[in-house]
Amino acid sequence: MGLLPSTRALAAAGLASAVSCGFVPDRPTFSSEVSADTRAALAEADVSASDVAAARIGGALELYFGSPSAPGYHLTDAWIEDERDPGDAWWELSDEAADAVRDGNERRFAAQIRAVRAAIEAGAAALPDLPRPLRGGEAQARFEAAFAPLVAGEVELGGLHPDSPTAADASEDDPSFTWGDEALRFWESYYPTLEESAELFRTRCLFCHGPLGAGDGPTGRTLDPRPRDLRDGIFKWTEVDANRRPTRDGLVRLLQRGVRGTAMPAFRRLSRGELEGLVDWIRYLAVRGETEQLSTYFACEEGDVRPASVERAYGTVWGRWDEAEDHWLAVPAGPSPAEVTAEVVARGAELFRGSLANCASCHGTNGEGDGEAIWEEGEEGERRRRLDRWGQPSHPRNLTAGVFRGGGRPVDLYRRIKSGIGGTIMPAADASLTDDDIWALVHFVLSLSRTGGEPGR
Amino acid sequence: MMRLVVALLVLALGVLVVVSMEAPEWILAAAGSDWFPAELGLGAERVDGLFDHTNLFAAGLLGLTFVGLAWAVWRGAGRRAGEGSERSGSRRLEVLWTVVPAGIVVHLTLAQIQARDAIAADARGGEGAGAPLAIEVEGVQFDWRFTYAGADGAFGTLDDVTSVVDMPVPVGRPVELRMRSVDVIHSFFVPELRMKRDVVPGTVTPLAFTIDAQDHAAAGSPETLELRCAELCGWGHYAMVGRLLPMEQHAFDDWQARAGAAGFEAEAMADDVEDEG
Repeated sequence: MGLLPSTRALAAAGLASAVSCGFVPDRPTFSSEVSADTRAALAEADVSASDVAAARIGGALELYFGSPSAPGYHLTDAWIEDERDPGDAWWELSDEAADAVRDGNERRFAAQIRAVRAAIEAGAAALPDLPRPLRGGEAQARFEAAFAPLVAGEVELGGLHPDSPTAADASEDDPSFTWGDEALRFWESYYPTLEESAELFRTRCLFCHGPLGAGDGPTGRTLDPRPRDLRDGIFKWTEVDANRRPTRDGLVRLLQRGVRGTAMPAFRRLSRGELEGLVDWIRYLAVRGETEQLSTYFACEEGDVRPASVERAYGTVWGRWDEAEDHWLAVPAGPSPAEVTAEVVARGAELFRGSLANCASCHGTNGEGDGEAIWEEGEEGERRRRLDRWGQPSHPRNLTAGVFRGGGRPVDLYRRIKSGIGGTIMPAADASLTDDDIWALVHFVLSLSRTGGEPGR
Repeated sequence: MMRLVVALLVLALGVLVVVSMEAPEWILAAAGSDWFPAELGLGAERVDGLFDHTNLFAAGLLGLTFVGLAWAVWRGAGRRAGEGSERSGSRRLEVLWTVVPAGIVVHLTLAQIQARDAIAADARGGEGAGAPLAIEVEGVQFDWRFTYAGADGAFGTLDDVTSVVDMPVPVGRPVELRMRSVDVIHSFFVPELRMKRDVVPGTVTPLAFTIDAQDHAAAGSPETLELRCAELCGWGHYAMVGRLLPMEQHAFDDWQARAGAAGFEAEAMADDVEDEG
């Protein structure tokens, strides 16, 4: 027993030294305040009382988007009429995506689904305690909250709960439908809420992309290239026409394959539901960021923050995202591998160095990323690389290295050449280039990094 | 009396330690379970055999050490200082404690060399196995990326197929990996295959394995095996987990054909969901 007081003293000393060393962990903060860019823009422009204006924009954002800890969208009248809520994106999914979500749930919640099925088959009066795998956490909490009487045995598994939203429909259509079936359906068609996806973003993406997706996470500051600032709504590796917002499926595919040659990993091991949820959250961050930028622009133009203008900004930004699918870039059929002859490659080389496609001006005559057009005169007359939208110096890809960030397949390169790369100096292809021209360019670019049967690209 | 008690305690501790080295496997085996993950690779049972064999020697030596320790406590601990017997220059003892450990080490070395060659031969599918499937593996912070030669069997051509995280592999066919690292040292590790090999930047590391069709079926035909990075490679090391997807040869061919074609024609635009719900 004599040991105890000294142990306590030791522990106290340890704690005291830990506190007194002044170590403060770099905690990300969540706030609905406007960004520094917005403040700077308002202060610079002819806006009276820019602090007040910033606060009003911040307040408007909170009205339209909730707070980062309680996110949600302000529903417009049209949406209410259409019963649409972008915060519950399950209804936006394509059939294919919805099936993939169900498939993913069957694997992810296999233990829960097994338990419910067993209870139904055994005709148990109540649901047994469901297994609690690590990743089931939040879904499990939601399930237990929704199905509490069933889990506690207060409602019989076989009977329909009178409060059940589907009770009325089900008993009319199918008298054998039970509340146990509904529990099963919960797991099979589980879809994360915006809050749950935000939490997943915090555990998986925050290190690099930052708490509000500004690309300013603790790890992101040291990366080259820098992580995407998601608040711009501008993405580099899209499947749409130039300067359009990305499609849902395109973003999911991007998350699944990662971005080669950068620190963006492939999140293929997440279930489809989790990926769709992350896309919901990425869209939330982008729509919020774009609305902030556009509202600020309107405020600078009008000299004041007008509610009507913020509403206009909200509608305009949503318009961009809603029409994304209409601008999906369908890739026309190109030559099959057997049809890619030396002539096709030679035609591509000619175009690459010609003035119409003009690739060589930045990528260099031999595609080594050493063209002259990337240089410009800096503010102090120095020779510097042209900057991209995010202020980073441009490094046109060395095409002989065989590492293509947007994907190295022929279709991926077709899209890069056709639509360009958003936010960078890589433009969309000149409209006078035909499909065959672009395919020829694709195969010339691919030929630069191929070594003809030898491994080791 | 006290000496005897302490000596017996030491002996009991020795028995406990030695039994704990061997017993779990026996107990689990009796319960119809396994100490290790399923052995799915050809030659995997040799790795486990080598482990058991080495473990047996280690347990035996440790047991002998405990017996000697107990004997020393019982016979020697009661003497007063200066009363111990001194011995020097005993050729018999010198020879004994040189030859016995050396013999054990040589035996284990030979057993390992033999096992290594046998595993390498097994992993290539043994005699009469079909042509191996070559896959280029790229370890990069923090992903596994794979390149398949496609239908023409040659790398660096337009029909190459790439995959990230997922590594489809035909069951029963020998697979030859050529592994390289873009940045730091990674390590390719699939526990069920009993295969682990470092992937070192600047060089191509070969690794061959074959998934045993019978063992795979016996284990319930698992659809995914975890491919872990077994070398601390940076902050995202924990998340550098790939998936080896064992599948039948025809399913593999289908996958390769589909993935290859997808490189040339864009994914179909998914239909809208107006009819749902």
